[in-house]
Amino acid sequence: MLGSLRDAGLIAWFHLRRALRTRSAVVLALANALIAGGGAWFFTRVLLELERAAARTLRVPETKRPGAMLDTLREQDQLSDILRPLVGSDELLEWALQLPVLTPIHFWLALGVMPFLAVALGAETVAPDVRDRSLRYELVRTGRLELLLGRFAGQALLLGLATVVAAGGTWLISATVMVQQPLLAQAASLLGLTPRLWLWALPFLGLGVAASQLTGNVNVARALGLGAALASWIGFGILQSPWGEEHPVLVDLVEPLLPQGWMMDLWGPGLGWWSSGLVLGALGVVFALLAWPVFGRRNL
Amino acid sequence: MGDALRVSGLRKKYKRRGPWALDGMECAVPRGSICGLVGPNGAGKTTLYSVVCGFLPPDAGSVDVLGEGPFDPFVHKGRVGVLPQDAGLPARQTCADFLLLMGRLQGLSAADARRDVDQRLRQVSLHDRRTDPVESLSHGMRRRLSVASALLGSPELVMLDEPMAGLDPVQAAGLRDVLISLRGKTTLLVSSHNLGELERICDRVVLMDSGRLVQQGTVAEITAQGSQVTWELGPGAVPLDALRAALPGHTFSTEDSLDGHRLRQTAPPAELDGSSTVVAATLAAAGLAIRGVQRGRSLEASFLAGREPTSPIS
Repeated sequence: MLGSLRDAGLIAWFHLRRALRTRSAVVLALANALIAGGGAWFFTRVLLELERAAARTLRVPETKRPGAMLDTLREQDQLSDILRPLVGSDELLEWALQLPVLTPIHFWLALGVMPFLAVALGAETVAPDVRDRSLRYELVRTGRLELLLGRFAGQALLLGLATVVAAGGTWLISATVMVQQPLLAQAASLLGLTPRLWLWALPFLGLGVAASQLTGNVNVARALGLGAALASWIGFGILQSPWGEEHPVLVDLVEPLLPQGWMMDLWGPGLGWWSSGLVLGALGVVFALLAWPVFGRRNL
Repeated sequence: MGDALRVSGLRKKYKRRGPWALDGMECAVPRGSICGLVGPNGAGKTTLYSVVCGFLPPDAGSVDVLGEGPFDPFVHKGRVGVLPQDAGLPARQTCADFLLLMGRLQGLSAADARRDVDQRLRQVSLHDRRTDPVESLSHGMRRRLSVASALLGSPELVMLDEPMAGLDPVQAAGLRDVLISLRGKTTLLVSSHNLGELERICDRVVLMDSGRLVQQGTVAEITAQGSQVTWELGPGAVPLDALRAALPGHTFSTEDSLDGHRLRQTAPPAELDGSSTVVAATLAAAGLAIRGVQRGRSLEASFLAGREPTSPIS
């Protein structure tokens, strides 16, 4: 057992090192930062328009940069109108309104985007090495399961780094585009939500890892993984529909197996999200092993 | 001492209705030997390696590696080194990082792995490329890096599938010296189409064809070094009758060579050494120039003699 853990840890560490030395880590981090920063920037444009409208109503000078009239927007419930549909309940709205304004927006956007980045990353886990058989060098030194879990862990670490960089992208927008922002509190709140986003992405990383075991073609693996991720969203949508209300037993059985079933638990103050986060992490490992019956036996 | 590797009755098919890639293959590689694995394309050499290393499950038969059953990466950790023939190297990893991971997975401590990586990179003349990514290496360099990975940690059994493929003559000679330096320290199983190279390196040979064992034994046995001598002679009449009269238990046959004759002598092993002066004297008395003497056949000749004739290439 200890030997297996040691091997998986070594593989994860060297996998991360290799990714950091090559452009794959840079591309992933930049993509994450650009998407997060881009989403945050777009929201600041919306915010600026709202603030200008409020300024016109109050007959005060309009601001050139967003952020100066956030208190006014809070008082006029305009921020609540934006955030309420994102968080889904008044209790969570209270919490979201206490955060620096870009934090809940970043969290909401990342919840939607990270699954797809995670699937794309997961699809690269072993597929290229299956194609050129370079896995054979490792397979005479460790088991297939250790190799797979080590690679999964390496990708998970990489995903964690990318999540932190994405938070950096949003923070940069806050620091450069907005005014009167509590930058330290902004950084702390963004980083505080990073573990939740990371855990949320793990089941989707697992789907990508599973797909990468089925083919030596990375693009096919990406397509398979994205298809599986989309299927999970569609499945969750069906369970949430009136049809699902008519089949409560099925909903109780299937919903816990879908990552979306745990997503809303990630919102909110305190550490109440931890247990759901752990379930998501476990789902990630289970999903990564879905293709094990094939990978464990195929000619590598 | 026992065998480092023993396979018996090994059978493997890639497709249910396809031909047998391995069809009851048997062979044994004694500990401490350098054993060549020889066979034509499609003979099943790479499949044999793949099954022995656990990349492929066999359909039937058994494999015993170092006396501890079928290959298991945990049971045999650090005790078996492998150079797979058709496996690429991780292109974006540096040479040193690749070997370091392999060494660590073999159970070496970080310090030992670093030391051994350094030594192996020097051994295959890649020390100056240690921080370069694998993708920047030439084909020959990648081959040498693969060989270095197989030798990491001084394993008890090293299996090299076509280690000389793609190497230039200088690189091949360097690698040959590396392999010869391992004689007596480790067991080597080496497959190659370069039979002259194998003959220089190996003390044992396994000949296989169509997934089956054709012959196995020492190089001396396979090439009949203990019972056969070929004499390269100049032009003139070969005194076959005189030779047969002088050495009654021996058989002699001749064939024409480019500018003379080739005389083949087959003798009881105990009499071969003592007969050479008699043959030489008889040939000299007949006025024939002796241009060369070779004990046994070349490995290539032995291999071709053991095979059924194939159609000429048209």
